[in-house]
This record gives sequence, C-alpha cells and structure tokens, in this order.
Amino acid sequence: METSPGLRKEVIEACKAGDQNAFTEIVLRYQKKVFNIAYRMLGNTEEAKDLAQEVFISVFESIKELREEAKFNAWLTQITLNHCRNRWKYLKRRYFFNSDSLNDPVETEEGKMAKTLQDPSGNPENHYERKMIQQLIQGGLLKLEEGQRELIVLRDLQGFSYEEMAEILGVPEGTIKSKLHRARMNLKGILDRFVH
Amino acid sequence: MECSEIRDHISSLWEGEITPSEAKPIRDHLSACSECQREFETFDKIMKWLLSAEEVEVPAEFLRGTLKKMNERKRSFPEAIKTRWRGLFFPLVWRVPVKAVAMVGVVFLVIYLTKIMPVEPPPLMKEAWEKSPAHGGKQKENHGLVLKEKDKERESSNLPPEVPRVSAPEMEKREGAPVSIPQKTDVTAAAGEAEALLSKDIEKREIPAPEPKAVGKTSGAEERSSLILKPLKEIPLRFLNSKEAVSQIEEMVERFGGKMVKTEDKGLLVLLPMPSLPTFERELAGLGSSMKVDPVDTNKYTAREWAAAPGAKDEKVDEKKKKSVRVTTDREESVIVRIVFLQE
Repeated sequence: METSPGLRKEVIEACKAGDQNAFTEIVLRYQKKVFNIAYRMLGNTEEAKDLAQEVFISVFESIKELREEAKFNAWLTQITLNHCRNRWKYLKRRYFFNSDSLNDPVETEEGKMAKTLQDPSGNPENHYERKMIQQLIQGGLLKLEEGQRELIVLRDLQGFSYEEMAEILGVPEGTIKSKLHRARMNLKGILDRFVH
Repeated sequence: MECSEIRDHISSLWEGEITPSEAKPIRDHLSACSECQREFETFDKIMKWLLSAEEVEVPAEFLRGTLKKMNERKRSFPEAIKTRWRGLFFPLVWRVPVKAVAMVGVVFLVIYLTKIMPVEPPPLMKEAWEKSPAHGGKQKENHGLVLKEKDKERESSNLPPEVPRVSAPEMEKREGAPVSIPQKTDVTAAAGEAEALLSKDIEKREIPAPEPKAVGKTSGAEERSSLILKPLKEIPLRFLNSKEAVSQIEEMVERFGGKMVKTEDKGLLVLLPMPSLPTFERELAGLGSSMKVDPVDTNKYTAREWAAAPGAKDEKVDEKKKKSVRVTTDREESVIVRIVFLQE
C-alpha cells in the first residue's frame, strides 16, 4: 500500500506533533474521499458532513498511534468505515431509513418527476437522467446489507484494489471477490426493474 | 455449462479476471441462452451506472467546521488526555484483574491476621463483668471455674505454671522419701505461693457473707469444694477417753495435711486430702480401744448440708487462711471425713 501521492511523510509527522497546518493539509487532501464514503454509506448529506468531520477529529487525536505512515490511506479508510457503522446503527434505531428513496420522484428544476429511463442504453446524456441514475444508485446501495454496501463503495465507487480492500477489511482477497460478486448481483436484482 | 454456473461467473467475466480459455464456454453459452444474455446485459448496465457515479462535492465550510469542532474538543482535551493516558497505562483489561487481586489479597490478609491473633475478651471487660452485681451472685459457684480460667490465661500468656497443689506427704511419697510430719506452716506457705501467682482480682474478690446459720470458717470454701470434693466419709471410732482421742486425731489430721473443720459433741469433722485418706484410716484404726472401721458411707452428707446443720459452730478464720484453704480445696481433691465417736 503506497502513500497517497503528494502526502509527504513530514506532514504526518507534523500532525503527530500537533501542527494544525499539517492537519489542515490532511483534511483538504482527503475530505472529498471521506465525505463521499460517508455519503454513500449513509445516504444523507448532513449526516455525511458531520460524520466526516468526526473522522478527521479522530484522526488528529489518534494519529500518534499510526506506526506506518505509508498505510495512512488504509488507516483513514478504516476509521471512516468504523464511524459509518456506528452511525448507521444509531440512525437505524431511529428509523432514519424508513422511506423508500427508490420510489421517490426525482427532484428537478421542472419539479418532481417519476423515475423513468427513456434511453434503454443506460447512457446518462442529460441532466435529468444523470440525477435519476445517481438517486437510483444511492437508493439501491441503501437497500443492500451494510457489509455488501461497503464492498461496492470501496471497489466500484472509490476504486480500491482487492489488495487494499483485504487490508482495510481484514479478510482474504478471495473472500472479497466472492462477496463482492454477491453484492453486485443483489444490487442488480434491486435495480433490475429500472433498467428495463 | 448450466445457467446457474454462468451467473456465478458474470462478475468475473465482466471484470476480465478469468482466462480466455475459461471465458470461451461462458461466452458460447451466453450467445446461445437469451435469458443469461439478458442477465449479463443488465449486470453490465448497472456496473456502468456505478462507474459513472460522480463524487458528491464537499459542503462549503467543511474545513472551517472541522477546525471549529476540533478547537471545541480541545477545551475538554485535558479530560480526553486523562482518559486516554489512564487507558494506556491502566487499561480496562488490567483494571478488573487488579481489583480482583486486591480484593483477594485483603481477604487473605484478614484471615492471616485473625489466625495470628486469636480473639479474646479484653482483661478490663472481663474484670468489669466479674465485678458486676449480676455476676457477684455467681462468684461462689464460678470461683473454681475462674481459677481454671486463670490457668488458661497463664498458659496463653506464657507465665510459669503454678505450683501443683500436692500435699507434702504425697510429694514425698512420689520422691520416695519417708513420710514426715508436715508443719502447719508448710501448707500455708504453699498456699501463699499459689496465692502469689494468682491475679489480684481474686485476692480482692470478697466472699459473700454466709447465711446466718451457715457455719465454718471454710463455709465458702466448702461450698466451692463441693464442686470437686468426693462424697463425705464417715469413720466411727471407739475410744475410752474422748479428750485424748480428739487431741490425737487433731495431731494426725495435721500430719496428713488436713484441717480440722468442726468439733462436735459426738464427733469431729475433718478435711483431708484424698490421696492421704487410706493411710489416715489405717492410722486411725490404731487409735482407740478396738479397731472397727465401718464401711464407707458415701454421700451421706454434702458439705453444704453439713454447713447448714444446726448447732454447727461458726469459727472465724483470717482472710489468708481462707484463701489458703480455698486454694487447697480447689486445687486437689479433698474429702470431708466425719469421725464419729463411739465411746465405750
């Protein structure tokens, strides 16, 4: 696992020493990744923002425990997923995900419109379709079991390799592949009716 | 290949993770099976949707909000440090076993200390209890027990043991020496020695006043002796001259380490050490005109009954003799013998 390009070892060392500028640099470099993982896992912008901020505060508080600076990316992703799991349980207990977002109409400038894909090829050529596809994807992800959702977010949305995923999740690559295949097939089953 | 097998390989086929030789039969089936082909196409479309999903932009003021939260956290950061450091140096994993070990250690310490120091009532409490009025009425009865208790105290406090109360004739017998006539002072001296070893509370203890008709300098002693005295013996004695007989008996009693208890019109009451009784009887048989010693009549009288008998004399004895008698009667087995005069 290589250090993310551009993140120098000195920045991590400075952050360990409590340098706020170094911390700021880390936030700016990883905020989009962390926020998007949180958003895909929780499906809510506000919740994702709060969670991402908590993740970076946790990073600052526990960065001294990081032994290998080269594994900062994997370590950060682990912290993010841990926060997501905790927050998911918290929100689920409060019936945060009761609404079926898949059947919700798509909100556009023209108003709300039902989800229909006119273009059978699936190529999102217009704004409406793109927005609709985003909503379908997010809705489908929230329907998945939490562990399957993590696999799809890490592999298909964030682009992690099987090796990185094995390190982050602590399971063998073969297990990652078979579970990922099952997650994708489940997502296909959820979104099948919207494709045809 | 079966359709179920094909669907298990769709993901690998789509990602290109299988070799061409493995992919060929799958593609051949897909071209032949419309259902599997449709499945593959749907899978392909959804995967393309996933890959085309754009990253959501970070909300404005995200960094500012993060720094603000962090500064607010820093205000309570010392508490967090304490918690963190406490957890580092004394994590929960250690706290529970340490507490358990500490509790076990305290229990063992208590057991160890209680075994070393056996619990005994403090002497002051004991003394106060013994002097209390509630306890006074039982002093007579319990004196012997108290003295025995004192023995136990002496043992526990490692004091030298008291001189065993053995009469002079008995001691000399044991040593093989001829029996000699003990002086009156010997008994008193021995008693005094024993007395010196007793605690002061015994010396200070007062013997309650005897009943009006109660008799004897040793009335208290007799009652106490009744705890351990053998039953009363009666020895009839025939003689010609009573005065001479009395004086001879007195001399004999003193010689055997006994005491004259009472003098009556028709007899004598003497207190003798139990071991010396057989010898005393034999010698008594030598006195008088004829030797007739009636069989022992035990338990005819108890000392208490004798003390309460009408006409018994009431003799005063000084405190020291009382104590000595008390010590004697309570330290060894003694018997009160009644010598009945049968004048010829």
